[in-house]
Amino acid sequence: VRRNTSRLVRLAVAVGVGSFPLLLAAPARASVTLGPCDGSVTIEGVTYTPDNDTPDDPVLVPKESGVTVGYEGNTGGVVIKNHNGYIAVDVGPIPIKVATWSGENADEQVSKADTYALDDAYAKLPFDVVGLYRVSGKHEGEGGSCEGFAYVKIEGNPITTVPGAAAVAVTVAAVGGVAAAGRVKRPSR
Amino acid sequence: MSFRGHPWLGAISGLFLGLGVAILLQQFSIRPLDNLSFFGLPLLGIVLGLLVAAWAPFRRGGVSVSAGPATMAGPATVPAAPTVPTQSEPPPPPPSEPPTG
Repeated sequence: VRRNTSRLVRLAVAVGVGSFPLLLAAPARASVTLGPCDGSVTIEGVTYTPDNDTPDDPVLVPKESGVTVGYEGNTGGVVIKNHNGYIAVDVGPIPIKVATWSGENADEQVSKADTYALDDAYAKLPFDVVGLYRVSGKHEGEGGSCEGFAYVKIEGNPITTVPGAAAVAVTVAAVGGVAAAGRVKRPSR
Repeated sequence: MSFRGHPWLGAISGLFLGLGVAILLQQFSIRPLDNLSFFGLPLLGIVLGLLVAAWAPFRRGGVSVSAGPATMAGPATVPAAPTVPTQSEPPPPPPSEPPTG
């Protein structure tokens, strides 16, 4: 179970979340839609809480090597056994799951604190990613359930990434297509 | 609505334009790919593409086309000679005379 919990957090960071504990936050917090959980993450001396839940106030993840993230999270004292959950990057209405987990939690863990090297997360990605993401997650089982979201901004130059360059190419081509659509068409005979 | 341009090309290009802009906004950390940008911007792009196709502000192949649909019957405009009286070549023969035979 501890292994599952650790993997859970590592995967969260791997998708640029770095803030899974933020997903496990108190109901009073705006980024949590369900559950008694709470947590925080510290990146380069800045501590983020579940209040970092708007596009204007995201969790900032630096795009540089050698950064270690510290995190802590808890389920509000509630023991959640036989749990399962996921972390997803929301693309429109579709949550694309990037991590799932399950376990018994036989030793009845209710909190966890550790550190994680961002380099390990970046090494797992097929190409560089930057930009602003809405990341959602859920953790549920016997005894309770937590659900929430956070905004994560991965810093960097988008033009140098595959998605960024592709978006530029698609946009430029589409502008050309719209312009071509505005040409007077050949009359039909 | 009548289209002087190419509505299908406009709609499809507009769709991709909206998607491209939505992804660029996300990549530049201006706006995440939420429902509004994921659906709204492509929809806006389709509308834009259709409007451009209906308006058709661009001429075809560099030929001067006056307002209204282009026709094949005769030149739409005659940019030639009145102000240039010293033409070295005679005007081409009228195309309406087929070879006799």
